[in-house]
Amino acid sequence: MAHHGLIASYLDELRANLPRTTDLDDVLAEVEDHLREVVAAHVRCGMDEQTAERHALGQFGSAEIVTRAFAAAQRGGIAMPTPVTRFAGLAAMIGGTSIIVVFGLASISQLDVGGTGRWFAPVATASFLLALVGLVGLHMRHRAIYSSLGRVGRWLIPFGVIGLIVSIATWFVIGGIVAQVMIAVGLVLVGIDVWGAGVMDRRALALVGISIPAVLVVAAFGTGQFDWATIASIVGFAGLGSGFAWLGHGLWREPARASAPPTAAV
Amino acid sequence: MTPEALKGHLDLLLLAVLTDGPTHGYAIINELRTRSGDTFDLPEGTVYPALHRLQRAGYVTSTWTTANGRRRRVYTLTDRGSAAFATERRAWQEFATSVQQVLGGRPWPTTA
Repeated sequence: MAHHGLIASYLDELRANLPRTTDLDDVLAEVEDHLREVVAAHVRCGMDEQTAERHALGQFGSAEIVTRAFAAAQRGGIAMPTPVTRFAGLAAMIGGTSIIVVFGLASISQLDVGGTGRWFAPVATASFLLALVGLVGLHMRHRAIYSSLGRVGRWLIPFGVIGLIVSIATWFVIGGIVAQVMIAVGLVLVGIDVWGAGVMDRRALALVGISIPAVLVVAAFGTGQFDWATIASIVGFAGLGSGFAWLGHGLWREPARASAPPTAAV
Repeated sequence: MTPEALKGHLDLLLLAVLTDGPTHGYAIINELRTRSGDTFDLPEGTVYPALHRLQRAGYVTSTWTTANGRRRRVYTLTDRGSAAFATERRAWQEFATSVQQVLGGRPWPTTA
């Protein structure tokens, strides 16, 4: 009795993640036909069936890469990771970590950011710039999955980040609040699309999503005293920074090749 | 050749393989690999979205058959696809010739 667990699992994964506009049954039938043919060819070369299935799936590409290829074919985007996207992932990791440290220290110490805390503005700016680089990389990798909601969100985020940087630099408090709202709304809209497509770690997305309200609360109600708003600030920015770093790590560690060609069994 | 280098030319290569006659995806990929001397190495699953894109563009059509008890999609080059292939091949040959001339170090033609 042939073992078809690996291919069946792979097809299930594709079914769950392929773009909704894809004709799923036809695509999966075509993919299965391909994989079975490859398995048969490897078996004819002397490979056992289970090994042949693993090799066939390795040659075909991970479900993630194939999903992105289908999405990219429909809307544009990068199906394969590149050095640029991996660098963006690294930037997001550094930026996210820096956000945690910078805003955490500022909240805990009730920093006089206009006086002794002059380091706050440039370091916070640099942190958000790195996070923005990471977001650009994530956008390059995953823009193929955006619906109209996501396309609106992807414009709100960079304008919000620029506004936030300017507000931090000029101590324009209201501008900072508006900018944070823009970023938050943009992240939510993009997050809805990305969550549905399943192309990023949903736990990291959830962390960012949960953190956004905390950050907004601080922006709206922060008094500068060590109170519940400060605690929310610590939690919010820690979550936001962690989420960015987590997403950046996922982007950074993507291999350049989805698979290595198997050696033929003679 | 890296997948990124191949990406921009995949459509042309797929059309080239289909000029030989109708065939299914696995055979197309094998033919591509054979003709390139195993140079073109990319995840096989990424070829199918390209084939579907060519179908949406009207360059190929597909029909379903049955093989080994499974549904099999067979792709056929259309007249429009054949014309597009001829145009793209001509453009590629001109481009390749120009690049080779530059790489070959031949002098620019002068107006003197």
